[in-house]
Amino acid sequence: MARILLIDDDGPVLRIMREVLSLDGHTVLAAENGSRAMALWKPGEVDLVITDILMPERDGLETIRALRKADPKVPIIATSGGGFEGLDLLHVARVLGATKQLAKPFGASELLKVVREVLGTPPSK
Amino acid sequence: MNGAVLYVDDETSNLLVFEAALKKHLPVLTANSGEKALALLRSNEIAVLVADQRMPGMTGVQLIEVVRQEFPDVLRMLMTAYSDLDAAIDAINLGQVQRYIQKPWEPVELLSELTQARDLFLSRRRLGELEQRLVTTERVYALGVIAAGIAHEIRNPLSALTMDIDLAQMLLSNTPGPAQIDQTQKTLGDAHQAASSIKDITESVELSTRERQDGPVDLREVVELACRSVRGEMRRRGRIEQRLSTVPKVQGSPTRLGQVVLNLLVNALEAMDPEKRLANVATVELTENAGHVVLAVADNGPGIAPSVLPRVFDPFFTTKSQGGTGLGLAISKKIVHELGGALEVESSPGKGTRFWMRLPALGRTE
Repeated sequence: MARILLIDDDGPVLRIMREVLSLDGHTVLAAENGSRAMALWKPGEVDLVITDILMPERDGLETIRALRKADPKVPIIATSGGGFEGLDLLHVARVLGATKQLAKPFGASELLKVVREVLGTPPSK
Repeated sequence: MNGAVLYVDDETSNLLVFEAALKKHLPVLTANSGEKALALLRSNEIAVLVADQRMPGMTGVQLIEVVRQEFPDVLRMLMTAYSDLDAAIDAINLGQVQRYIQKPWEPVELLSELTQARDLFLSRRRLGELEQRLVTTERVYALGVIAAGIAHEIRNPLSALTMDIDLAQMLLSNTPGPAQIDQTQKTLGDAHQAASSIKDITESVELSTRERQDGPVDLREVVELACRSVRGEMRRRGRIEQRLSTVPKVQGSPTRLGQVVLNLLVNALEAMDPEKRLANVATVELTENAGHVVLAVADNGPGIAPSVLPRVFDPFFTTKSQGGTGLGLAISKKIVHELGGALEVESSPGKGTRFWMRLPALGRTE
């Protein structure tokens, strides 16, 4: 199962996403902003990054840029911070190098489906 | 009939002469009584009313008075013989008619009078339509901004809520126990948060119109940062040419102005087909001009069709098949407007598109 770096400034969203991904068997590193995430980041120790876009401190777009510099290959899923502006930013995130985009609100099954898709693993059971 | 001239006279021969003299040049309707004239006014758009004063039943002045009340936009003229001149002068003095025409009339003169009056009517109507359109656009704008705000605040708690319920379902399919109870409690907590978010929105929408964290911004820095962030994609699609002069600072917030610049850059970038990478060039130019700082972002892509061009700043208007919400340019324009600037576009199909943003320059000492 994969090691996932999860970034979202919204407490409840971070908690539930962590729970859902853990239940699916993944190891989850959770960070509430981009700066914390980059501190947790070690090359070769993360298989997938899931990041929110609109966050205080270092935002998602900047984080994607930094991650791409550090590792051009690691798959990144960008989730929308919200609103119509958020959707536009999601588009920008894709341009900046995010592998997949996921607009909030999404359900647990949708999240797991996209994660499996990006990791290239067949649906379990 | 649109913007027609309506002539009212009880003598059929007069109506025929009037119609024959003018109908080649103007849309003309005629009526032989005040009552019939009013019926025509109700079913047609009349620009100018010409009423003969002396008619059995309703006189010209009486008809004109009714028209003034019921159809205030119609331009009113009274036609009189010399003997009725007093009635005409009274009518003008009372503001009932704009002009009077003396019998017998001269065709060339009358045509010129009527054409002028009709043109006035049509330009007033056009102005009214423009004002109406402005009001509607403004409303759609406000709605878009509010909708964006609501979506922004609701998406996170709703996301958590959806996943919580998903999870609760997965767990409840096993034997119910403390974990399930705990889960339903969390679900309830998230639901409460969603509800309180809605309340916060109404307050913040009000606040956001008042609070501004603006200060002096070096637009050159903002532009350089934005250019850097799209550099990779730009390389894939073509060449970026930066001509950035040192400019005075402008009033604004770096984040919001950065959003505008990034938006313009991404638009330019998406207009450039990676297949034609070698020929593609985006030009970013920053200059100072007559007390303003001007940023122009141009591409040599396919351009925007003239039919679409006037709508590119409309909220929710988009030509992108995926990923565009149609709010990027609308929001950008709003941001620039709020700072006392302007955001404009020009485009020629086959040659490319150029957006430019003009912001008032702050004094050099600031």
